[in-house]
Amino acid sequence: MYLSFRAKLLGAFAANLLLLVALGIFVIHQMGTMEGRAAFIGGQAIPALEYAGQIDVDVHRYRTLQQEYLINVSAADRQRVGDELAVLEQQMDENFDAFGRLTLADEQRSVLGRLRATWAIYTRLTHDEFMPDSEQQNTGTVQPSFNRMNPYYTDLLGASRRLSELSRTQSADAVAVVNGAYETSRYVILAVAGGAVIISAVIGLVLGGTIVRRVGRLTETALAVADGDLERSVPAVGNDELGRLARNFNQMILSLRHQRLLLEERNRELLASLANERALREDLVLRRAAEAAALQAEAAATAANQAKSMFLATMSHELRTPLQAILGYAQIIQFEVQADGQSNVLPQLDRIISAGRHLQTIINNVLDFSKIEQGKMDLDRSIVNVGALARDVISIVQPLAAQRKNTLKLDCPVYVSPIETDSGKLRQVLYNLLANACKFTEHGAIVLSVQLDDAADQICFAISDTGIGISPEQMDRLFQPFVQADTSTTRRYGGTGLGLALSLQLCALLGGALSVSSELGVGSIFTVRIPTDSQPHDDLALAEYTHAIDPSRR
Amino acid sequence: MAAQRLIGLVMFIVLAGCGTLAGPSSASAPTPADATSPMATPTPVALAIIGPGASRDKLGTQLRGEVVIDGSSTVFPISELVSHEFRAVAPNVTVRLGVSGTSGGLRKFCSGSIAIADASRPITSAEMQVCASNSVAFIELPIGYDGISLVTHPSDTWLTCLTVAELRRLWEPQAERAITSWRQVRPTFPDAPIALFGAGADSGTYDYFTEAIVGTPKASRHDYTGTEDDYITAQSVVSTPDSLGFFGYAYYRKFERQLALVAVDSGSGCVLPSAATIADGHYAPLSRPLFLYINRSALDRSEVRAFVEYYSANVARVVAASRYVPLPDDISAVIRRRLERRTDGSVFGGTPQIGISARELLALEER
Repeated sequence: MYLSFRAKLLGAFAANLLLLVALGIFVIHQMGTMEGRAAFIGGQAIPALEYAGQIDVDVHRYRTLQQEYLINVSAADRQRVGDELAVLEQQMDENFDAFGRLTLADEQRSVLGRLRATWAIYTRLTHDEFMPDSEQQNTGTVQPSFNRMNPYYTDLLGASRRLSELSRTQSADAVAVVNGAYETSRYVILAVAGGAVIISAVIGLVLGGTIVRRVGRLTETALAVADGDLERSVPAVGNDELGRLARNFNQMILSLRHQRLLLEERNRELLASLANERALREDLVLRRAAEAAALQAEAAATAANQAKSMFLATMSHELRTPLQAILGYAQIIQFEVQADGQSNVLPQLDRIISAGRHLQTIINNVLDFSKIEQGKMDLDRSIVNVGALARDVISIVQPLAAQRKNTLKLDCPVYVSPIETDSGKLRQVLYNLLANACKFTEHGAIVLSVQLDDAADQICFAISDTGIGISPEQMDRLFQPFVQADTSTTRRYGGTGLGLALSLQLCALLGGALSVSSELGVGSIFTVRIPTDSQPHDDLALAEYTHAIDPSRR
Repeated sequence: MAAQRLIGLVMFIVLAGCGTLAGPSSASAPTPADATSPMATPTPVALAIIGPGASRDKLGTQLRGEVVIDGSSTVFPISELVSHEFRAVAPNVTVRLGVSGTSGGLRKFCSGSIAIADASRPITSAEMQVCASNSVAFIELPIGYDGISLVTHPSDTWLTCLTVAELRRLWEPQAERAITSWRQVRPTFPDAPIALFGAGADSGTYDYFTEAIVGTPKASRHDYTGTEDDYITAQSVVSTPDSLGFFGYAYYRKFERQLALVAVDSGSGCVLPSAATIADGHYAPLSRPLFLYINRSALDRSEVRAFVEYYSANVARVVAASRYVPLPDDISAVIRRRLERRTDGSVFGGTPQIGISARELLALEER
């Protein structure tokens, strides 16, 4: 079980504290013991020793006095010695009493009792036998009356010696107890100090070693991680601070690893987007180049178109002049023939005139067209009576309608307020559209309806037929120059193919619009819208129109 | 006891008044029972001039002076008892009782410095010569019997009896530093070091013991503890295991609770000393008579005469009281007559006699 360093240090501190507290209690106890024994030594053992020593000394002195009593023959000396013996006896009694008052062990007390009893016998014998006998015995070489007391004296000495011995033993025991307590205390103090030092040292060394080792591992790993080795990890041992640190460090490494993965992914994404961007940029450059090329091409195309229009105009003009002469002369011939009656040449002349007129129309249309394209078409604005204009056109187209057995009808309100526009151009548009309707309708009905759209300040001309109609595919190419709904139609129906394109351009020129709706095999409706107060068209409108009809676009 | 003393005193006064000394016929007849129970023995009145009950008697107090006695420690208890009693009878007489051993006492005695010598052996011819050269005439008074008792420490239960031969091996001069273990004395004894205690060289007991055991007076090993005071010997044996000591029978009796007797086998079995075996000479060869030697001229002094007569009158009682063996009455009578007649000289003629019985003594006395 790994505890935290804090817990370990606290544990060590607590162990030391416990040791110290135990030591304190122990030392106080030992000091109490020593104090008690010291008090005993001072109050009991030393007095006991003193009294025992005094008793021993007094017994010896008594014996010595007895010998003096033997030696001294004079009555005075014997009296003196006798007095001294009496004093000694009294002193001995005091010694015994004092000794008896001490706290004594059983043996001490019994020895004291024996001593006292022997002493009583000894003193009694001294007074009853020794002293009277000694007064009589002074001639002999030995002293039987004195020697007779030897056993008692020996007993006294033995007892007093035993008493001293006991007291000494008692003192020695007490001193031994004190010494023992001191020694024990010393050893215990040393042991506790040693124990504390060992605990501290062990904790310190072990903790220190562990910390150093583990911190070393951490440092090593941290250095490795710093060097980029994210696959490393620290062994996360234990529940202590370093363990937690190691775990956190490992967690950090994991997080770093994760972050690195994310970064790498981002990096890849970034590289990809960079490549993408580069590609885009390259694409843009290419496109710009293409645009420039297109513009250049467009300019070139426009220039070519204009050149073509100019060429056509010039050519048309150059073609029209001789054609006019051809036609004029043909008609003159016709008149002359007719007049001459030479009818056999008349059909040829008719054909020449018809072909010439057709060519003339084509040339006119081409010319108009090129004029419009070159922006050289001029508008001749005037107040126009729409009803009259419509009836006039109907009357012109009537022969054409009749040719293909079609009915031609004008649907026009009684009064239509005049408008300001180029009547020639409007007439050309309506004529073209009606002629077309007649051309592609047989045994059908052709209607020109005029309507005023007050809300839009426009006047609307709708030319409907019951002809062949136009397919949606044909519709796309319908207003392009030189295009008919079917290329085969030119050959079948004739025409220059410029009619509708020209009409459209003219409408635009007049500030209006031309639209168509058709159903194949049912018929078509062409609608022209002209502003009632037709303003001269601006170049922008024309440009838009030009753009709309340019086949190179879109 | 007091009544006896009173009777004695009355008789003494009567006799003194007559100026004559009573003859042996006036002495009451001794019986063996009397010998063993001395307290019941009537006080002999023949030479008594004063009795023990007359301490405050006018005659007693008139006596002054000094009686000096010295000599044997064996006899000392008897003389001590007598002197104690005599102090009560004649308080103004100082009895100086010393103990110097028989030889020491006789030396002083023959120099004339003391009136009475206690002796545990008869005076030798050498001593008699000294006495003669100093013009000291003496009266020899046998006072009782003693058996030199061999004692040992009570813990030595194996030591109950020794033959005379063993004793000789133990005590002869050649034994000195040679016989040191009890096993050398008898193979069945333990290998314990021998501790010997005995009478000193001035002691009559020593002289008698050496003569009786070794064969020659004063011939013995010297590596033993000797003293003229038998109390010292007794106390030494009491405190020393594996020891052997010898002294007068009275000392054994005095310490009989602390000592063990050792019987002596002189050829007819082990015999322990007792009043009976000592009296009939069965305890051989260590039974012997005890003596008082009295300076004949000192008897001229009334205090000495009074003391000696008191001693003589009460001898059987005091001897018994001192735990010795009194003489038979017929011998006492002979001896009292010798005192009356102040017959000087020794019946032994200076020659040591071993194992002399009461009968033999009587024969010697009556010669």
